[in-house]
Amino acid sequence: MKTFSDLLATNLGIDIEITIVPNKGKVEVWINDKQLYNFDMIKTTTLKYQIPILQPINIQVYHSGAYVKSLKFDDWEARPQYGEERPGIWQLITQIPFYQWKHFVTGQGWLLQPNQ
Amino acid sequence: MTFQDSFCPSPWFHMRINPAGHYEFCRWADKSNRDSGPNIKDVDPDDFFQNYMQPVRQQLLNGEVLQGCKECHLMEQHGKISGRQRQLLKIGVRVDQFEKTLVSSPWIPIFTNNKFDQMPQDWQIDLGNYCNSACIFCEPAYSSRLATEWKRIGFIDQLPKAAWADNPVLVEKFLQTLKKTPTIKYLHFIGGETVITPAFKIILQALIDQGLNKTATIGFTTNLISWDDEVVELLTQFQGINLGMSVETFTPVNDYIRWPSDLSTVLTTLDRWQTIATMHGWFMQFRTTPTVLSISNLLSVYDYALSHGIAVESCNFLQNPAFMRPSVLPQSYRNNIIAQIRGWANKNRVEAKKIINTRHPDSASQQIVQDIESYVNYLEQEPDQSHRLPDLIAFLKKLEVSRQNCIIDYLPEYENLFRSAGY
Repeated sequence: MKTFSDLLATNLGIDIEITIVPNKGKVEVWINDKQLYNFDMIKTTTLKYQIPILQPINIQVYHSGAYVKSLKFDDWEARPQYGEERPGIWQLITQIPFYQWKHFVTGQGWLLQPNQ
Repeated sequence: MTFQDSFCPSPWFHMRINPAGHYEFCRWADKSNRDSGPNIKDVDPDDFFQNYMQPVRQQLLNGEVLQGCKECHLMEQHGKISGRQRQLLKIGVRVDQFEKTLVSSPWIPIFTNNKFDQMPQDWQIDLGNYCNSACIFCEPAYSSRLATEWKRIGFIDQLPKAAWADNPVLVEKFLQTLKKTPTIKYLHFIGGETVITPAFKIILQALIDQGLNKTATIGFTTNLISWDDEVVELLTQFQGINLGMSVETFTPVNDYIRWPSDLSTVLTTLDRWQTIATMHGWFMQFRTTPTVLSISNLLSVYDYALSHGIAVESCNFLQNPAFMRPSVLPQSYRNNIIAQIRGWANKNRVEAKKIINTRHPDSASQQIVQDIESYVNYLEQEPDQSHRLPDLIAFLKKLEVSRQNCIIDYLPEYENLFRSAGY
C-alpha cells in the first residue's frame, strides 16, 4: 500500500466506458474536449476513454434516436439513473471532480469543505 | 497496518471537549486518560485545534497507528462502521476506493500545507454529568445521580470535578470559538442528560443568535425520560437535527440497566420525540451501549427500529467497565444469541452493499441489519472473558443493595451462570 506521499505522486485516472445503442444515422460522442466517435452507427458500440482523476467530466452524445445503454466510471454503472436526455443530445456533466460528484449523487452525506 | 487502514482525517476538522473541559482529538479516541492535558480554562479551543493537535495530524500522515484509535480498529475488525470510516466519508473518501477518493477530496491541499489555520467544523461537546439517570455502565463523570450513589456506597471517595459547562465564563469562551466558525457543520452534544443541562440551552440560543442555526446541524443524545418544551422549541429552529435516543432493550431489562427509568415512561417519551422529529424531518437514531446484560435482548431495539424507520448506532464496542463487555458472556451462552441475531438479519437483509453513510434516512433499514451483524462477528470472534464475571457480580451485588433490585428477576436465564460467579 502506498504512503500518503506516494499517493500524491501517482497519476490516477478514471476509466470511462460508454455503450450506445443506435437507431439510425450519425452519432457523435464527446468526452470533455475529445471527440471519440463521429460516424454512422449501425450496431451497439462501446467506447472507452480515460481522463485525469480531478478533471470534471462532460459527456455529450449527439444523435437521432440512439440511447446510452451503459455508462461506467471505474466499473461503476451510472445508467439509467444519471444523464440528461434533450432533443438530439444526451449529456452528463459533473462540473466537479468525478468522485466528489458521485459522493453527492449517491447520497453519501456531507462533503465538508475546508474553511477558506 | 497499511496507510489505507490507519489514516483518518478527523483531526483536520473535528475535536472534542470532555466533561471537565479537557480537549481531546476525537470523539472516538481512547478514554483511559482523560483528566489531564490542555483545558479550556487555560487554552482556547482554536489554539488546541490548530497547534496542540498538529503532532496527531503529522503521525496520521506518516501512516502511524495511534494507540488512541484502537476503538475504531476494533469496530472495523468486526465489520462495524467505525468513526474513522464515518469521518473519511465526510471528506468524500470511501474505504473501498480509498486511493482515488482520497486524491479527489477537497482536503488534499490542506493535508499537504504546512500551515494549518482551519477551525473545527465538527464538534463533540460533553456538557458534564447533570443527569437524572444512573445507567449501570455509566461513570460518575457522565451522571451526577450515579456519582452521588457511588459516593454514598463507597465506590468513589470524591465527586467528579465540576463541569466546564457549569462555568459561564468558560461557556462564553467556548462560544467565542463557535462564533468564529461560520462554516461549522455539526455539533454533537452529550451529557449527562442534554435536555436538562442548562448549558445546552445556552449554547443553542447563542448559535441561533449568531445565525448558525441556518447552516449547522445539532446532534444530541437524550435518555428518553426527560423533556423540556423550551429546548424542543430551540431545536426546531435548526436546519438539521440528529436525535439520538438512548435505549438498551425494549424489555424490562432496560429498567435495570438504565436505572431508574421505566419502560412505560421510555415509550411515552419516545412517542413524543418521534412526533416532533417526524413533523420537522429530524433524523432519528437509537443509541445503544450493548453490554453483557443487554446483548441477549438487543434485538428488541433493532426490531422496533426496523418497523419504525429509525436507525441504530452504538459509539463503539464497550471497553470499560471491562466486566460489562458482551464478551464476558461464555461461548455456550453466546450461541443462542448469535443464532437469533443471524436469523433476524437473514430475514430482514435487503442488499449486500455496505452502507457507510449510516445517517441516510433512505438506508435506515439496511444500516440496521448491517449494524446488528457486527455483533454476530463480535460474539463469534472476541475471546471469552468470562473470567471477569466475578467482578461483574461483586459490582452488581453492591449496587443492588442501594437500588433494591435483583438482576435474576430481569435475566432469569443467567441465574446459573451468575450464581456460579458468586451471585
